[in-house]
Amino acid sequence: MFPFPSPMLLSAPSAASTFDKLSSITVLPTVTHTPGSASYVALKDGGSGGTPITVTITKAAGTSILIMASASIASTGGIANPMLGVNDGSTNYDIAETQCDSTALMRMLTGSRRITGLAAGTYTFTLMLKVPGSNGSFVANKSVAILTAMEVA
Amino acid sequence: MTINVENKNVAFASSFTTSSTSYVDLLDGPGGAVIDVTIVKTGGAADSNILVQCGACCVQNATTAVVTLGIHDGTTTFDAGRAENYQTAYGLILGAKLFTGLAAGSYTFKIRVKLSAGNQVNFNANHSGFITAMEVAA
Repeated sequence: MFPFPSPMLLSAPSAASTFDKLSSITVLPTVTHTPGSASYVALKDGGSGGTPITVTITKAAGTSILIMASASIASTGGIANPMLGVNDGSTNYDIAETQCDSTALMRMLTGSRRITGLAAGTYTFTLMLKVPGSNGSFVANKSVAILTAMEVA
Repeated sequence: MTINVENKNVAFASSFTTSSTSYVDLLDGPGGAVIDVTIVKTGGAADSNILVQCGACCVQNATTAVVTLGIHDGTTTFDAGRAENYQTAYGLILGAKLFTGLAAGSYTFKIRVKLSAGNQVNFNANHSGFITAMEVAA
């Protein structure tokens, strides 16, 4: 069932008090990066020698971090199952997985994850990619990578 | 800090088609309403930021198109997200932009779209779009 009544639904204004701090980055690459690894490696802006896509946030004790991550990815050959994750400097966290059917079919890989149990401090999260069984590309002038971290109660 | 969250979801009333290589407003069908959201920012420039997230589903008419979504803040359109739609395949495009340094006040953001050259996409009646604005502590 389609979730929105046609033609338009304007949701009512809402408010919340759970979010405290936010850090966000959006990258539109000009150089293709094809990590080609079955284990997580950093997805980079500017090819293999480029810059990792990171976001840094400071959290207080007793709070969590909500990560929201997206990337548009294409296979470099055959069916690929790219997985998107983040690394906080020591641990990888899975975010999302999808399937790219061919070299031409780009997919938007998107998801979110609440990370709990982190001590107070400053954390840099790095966007990670792994492609078990095949390969995946973060394509110049076609892709986007979005990484957002929020401190939440 | 209490934040404000504003959101608009749109199930397209009819097909909005564009082949523009420069930004145009994404409309809810031909001649329809823009897809926008207005948020009242309570914090000052140094106190809070606004995160705007947007997305839309669309389909490429024939060949392959790179679809870029922009977020317009009333003055400027910022590149926010893009992906390539292959031939007649359907695709989801997502975007985001963090607006910093804004004074307290009311701000309206809308979705805009542009394509790679020589292409055309439809935002059809069985597709949807959304835009969300959140005020969060700086």
